[in-house]
Amino acid sequence: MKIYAPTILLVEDNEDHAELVKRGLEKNRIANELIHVNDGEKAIDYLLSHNAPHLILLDLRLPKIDGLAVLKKIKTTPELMKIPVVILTSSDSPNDIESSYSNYVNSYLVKPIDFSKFNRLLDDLGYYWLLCNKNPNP
Amino acid sequence: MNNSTKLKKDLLEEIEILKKENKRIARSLKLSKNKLSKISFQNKDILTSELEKSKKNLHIFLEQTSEGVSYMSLNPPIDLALSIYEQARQYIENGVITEANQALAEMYGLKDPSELIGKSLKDFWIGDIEEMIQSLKDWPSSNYRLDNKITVEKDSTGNIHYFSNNSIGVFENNHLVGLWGAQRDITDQFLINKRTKENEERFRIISEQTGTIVYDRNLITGEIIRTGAIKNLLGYDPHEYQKMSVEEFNSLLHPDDKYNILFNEQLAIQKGENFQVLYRIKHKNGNYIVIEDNCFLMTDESGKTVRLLGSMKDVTLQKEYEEKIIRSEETFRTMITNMSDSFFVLSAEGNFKYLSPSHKTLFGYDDIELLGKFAFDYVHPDDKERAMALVGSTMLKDGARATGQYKNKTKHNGWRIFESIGINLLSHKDINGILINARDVTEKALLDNAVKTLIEGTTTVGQEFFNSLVVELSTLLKFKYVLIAEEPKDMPGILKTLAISVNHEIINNISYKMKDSPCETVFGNTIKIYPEKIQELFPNDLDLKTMNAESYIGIPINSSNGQPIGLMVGIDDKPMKDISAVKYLMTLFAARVSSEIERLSIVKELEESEEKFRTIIEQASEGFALIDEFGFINEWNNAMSTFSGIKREEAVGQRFEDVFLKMAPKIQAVDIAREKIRAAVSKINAGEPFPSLFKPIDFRIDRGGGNVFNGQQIIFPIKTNKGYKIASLTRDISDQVQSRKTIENYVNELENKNAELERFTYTVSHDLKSPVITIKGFLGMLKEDAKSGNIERLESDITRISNAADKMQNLLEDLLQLSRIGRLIHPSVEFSITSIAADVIELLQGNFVSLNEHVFIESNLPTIFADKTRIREVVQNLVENAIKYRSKINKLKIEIGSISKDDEIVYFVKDNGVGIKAEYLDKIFGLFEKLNPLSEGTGIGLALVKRIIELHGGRIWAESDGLDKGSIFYFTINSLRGIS
Repeated sequence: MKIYAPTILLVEDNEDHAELVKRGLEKNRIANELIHVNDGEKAIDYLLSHNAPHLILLDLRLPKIDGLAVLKKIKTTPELMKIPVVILTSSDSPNDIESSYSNYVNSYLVKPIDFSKFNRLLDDLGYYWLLCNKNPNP
Repeated sequence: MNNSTKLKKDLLEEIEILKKENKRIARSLKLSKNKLSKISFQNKDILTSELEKSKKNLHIFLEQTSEGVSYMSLNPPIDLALSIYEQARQYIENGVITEANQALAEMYGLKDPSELIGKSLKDFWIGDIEEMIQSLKDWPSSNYRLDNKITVEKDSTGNIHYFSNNSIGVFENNHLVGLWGAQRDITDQFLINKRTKENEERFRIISEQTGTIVYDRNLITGEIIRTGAIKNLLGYDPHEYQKMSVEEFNSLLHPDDKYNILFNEQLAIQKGENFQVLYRIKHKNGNYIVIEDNCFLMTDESGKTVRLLGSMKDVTLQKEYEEKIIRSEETFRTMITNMSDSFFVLSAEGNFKYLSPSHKTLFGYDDIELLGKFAFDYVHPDDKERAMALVGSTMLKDGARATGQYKNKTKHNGWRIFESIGINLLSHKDINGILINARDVTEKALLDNAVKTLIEGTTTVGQEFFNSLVVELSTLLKFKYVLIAEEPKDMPGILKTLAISVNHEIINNISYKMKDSPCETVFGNTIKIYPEKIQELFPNDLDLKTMNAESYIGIPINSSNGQPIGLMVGIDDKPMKDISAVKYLMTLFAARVSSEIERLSIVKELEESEEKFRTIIEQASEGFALIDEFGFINEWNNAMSTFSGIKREEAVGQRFEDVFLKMAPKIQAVDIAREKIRAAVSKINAGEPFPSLFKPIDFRIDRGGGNVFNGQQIIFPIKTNKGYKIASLTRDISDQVQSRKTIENYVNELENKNAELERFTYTVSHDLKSPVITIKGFLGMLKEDAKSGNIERLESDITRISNAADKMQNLLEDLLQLSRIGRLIHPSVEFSITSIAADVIELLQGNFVSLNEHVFIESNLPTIFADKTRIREVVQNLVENAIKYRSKINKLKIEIGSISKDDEIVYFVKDNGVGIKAEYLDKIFGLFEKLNPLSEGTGIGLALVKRIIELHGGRIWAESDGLDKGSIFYFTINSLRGIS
């Protein structure tokens, strides 16, 4: 049983990859709603002007503002910092992993997504939401 | 018997002393001479010791010491657990000299210490080995030390030596590994001791066999004790003889000897000196016998003579009696004559009452001429009253004595100076008068006077000394010419005067050839005196003719180690009189001149070494400052001036605190240095030792305008001949600091490069993975599409896969191209960007409606030396970007040109397109970076451009006023370098 059906913000510049995520989520009936933006600048614009999503899937290599900068921005902005952020990238560079975690990322996934793992991750994040917000699914 | 032996020994010594009296004048002259040479040698000693100070080290000590020092090495080492016999045997068997100094070599008659190396004890030992082993039996109990152990050894020439040995063992792990030894050659001392002992023994035997009278006379009580062979000697029974008073005894003396004895006795008592005297005395049988009387004076605590101890020996019966008495008379006479001594007795009225035989020699008068005459009539009128007063002063008390110097009239030699001693012996039964000893001291007084004048006139040093010496000598000795000359080191055979006087006046120095001159016979030889006819002796010396020379004295001047330096010469146009005085004075001052020349050369050496020191200090690249115990700066060299910006004359004589404050008021390190120096100065003032080494202090002085001095200062005490001072050495470590920075820069650059390489690797792997992920992902989708029969999505998914594969191929091609930039090098050529810009525009002209309207290329752009193909790629890329990101509102406009900035030509490609946000200006040059994810291309273009420019030693950057404000790409080319 899913704890919640989240609203997800997908920040991904590669259309194909975004399509793959979208189809995976649909197939596994995970997301309530998926919002897709294709660069870091748009992601921040979105977050600052819309209701907070339940989860952010964030690529690292992004045009204009890269994923790490977006992550920093989220985790240092009081209204946004509680939103769980999962890095979704093809890079398994230790540097990237390390700098992501040192910027308080909630999880780090290397492409392609293993959706069974992703489900478990969402369960964990549900608990995270309970702990942080009391109400994960308003 | 022992006592009498000792007495005899003492009396023998007494004889020696009396004999020495003979040479009294010589001795007193010698004393003045010594005194004189001390004056100059003291100076020299100080200078020498200063020089020595800097030379001191162990090696020199070893070579300087008169002790022979050696190290005897034992291989194999001796186990201390062995029996002492075995240890000693092994020591003798295995001990080999491995170190020795010069003194030791000389003791064994060798020239060089190296000749001793490898030698063993057996090479020198005389006598059998067992004996040597036995002599070492106390070794362990003395902790393997030998103190003044005497050995008899033979040297390399077979001569026997006695050595006093000191040695100490060196141990390792309970084994004796070697011995340090020091030895003195005591052969002479040893033989003398041996002979003295033999003499004593002989004396004892002789005195046993010959009869001697021993007497002990107390001068205070008048008591007299006589013992010994009295009967044998004088024929009297001991008790008979014992009863005799001094007066009775004196009446037995031969009349001719009476005064000799009395005078000698009185004089000896007055002087407190032992004496020996020969005299004739009447035997009980009426015959005179000859007595040798050795008298020893005993004094009380105040030094006053209170007893006379003596021995009387009959020398009459000795075989050579006749000879001896004659000889003794002769000796006595010679003594008196040589001493120019005479004695006579004056009556209480001052008339001559008795005259000794030597009187005539001295005064020239016969006894008859003088006896009964008033003595003071023969004293010079100037001295007469004084002489009378002095003699009168002795009248008051029995035994009183007075001494004075007067001019007396002699019969043949005019006025001469006499030193007289008068003793009141009016109460003496036999004498009943004033006993006077007179001595002709005319020469001595003259010489003393001369010496005094000379010393007073020549207390100066250096040139002044030489000048005053030649003048004084010429005045005193009445020489027309006096000169001091030296042989310059670089001009052998030539003499160059250091000072020369003519008629008592200094003239300019001269040089002359030694050959054929009398000086040739003197230089490096001995004193030469030619009292007359010098020109006949040296006919080839024209100078002598010029000077009209008649007499000549020359004395060689040698250095303290015996090397000839020069000579001192006196020349006169008259025959030389009074040769001995001249000789004496010249000799006296030759020593002084020698030490003065040496002193000057040492002073010169010292000045040179000081000069050297100063030059080194001045030339040193290190800043040197010397601070005295009062905190004042004494030295401040050039480098210090350069470092500090404070000139020498502004620093020397100032308090270091003021100067340091001026130097760098706000530098903490200078504060530390100041504190340390202050602490050191106060310790010196308190007489405490202070840390001999301080840690170096690094400091930095910013003089403004980019002029930064990085220094390191070390402060340490330095011992000078005026006590401790504080030295400060400052080094310029700017270069070190600079190179440290350069290295840091390199390290940073390298780290950057590494990081870039890492980034590149991950970027490449990430970007290459992307299409793979796409392909794999959509291949999975294809099955589902087929299952669900969604043909439309199936086709779109296939397109996606195909596109991803294409993209991957593009990426790989781009990467290949990027990697080629570094490897495929086209030779650099000269060209102008104007021409390649035109080529590019022509290539891309399909993008422009009208070239004239849209493109502006600066004509005559400077010629550069570079890889033309690559630079064309740069320009093409930039122009393509300008076209690609053209504004949707404005008509495209591209400008290619250059500006001059900071002596550098900067090229630019300017457009009026979409522009770039300020925060992305750097990011755009990254590999596979695209600002718009939907735009065409892989995002490698600007990364490629950057790499080409960097390979040409240039820089590239972009400027933009923001979105839709256009952008300018600037780049530079190091055209001198070409492509690297």
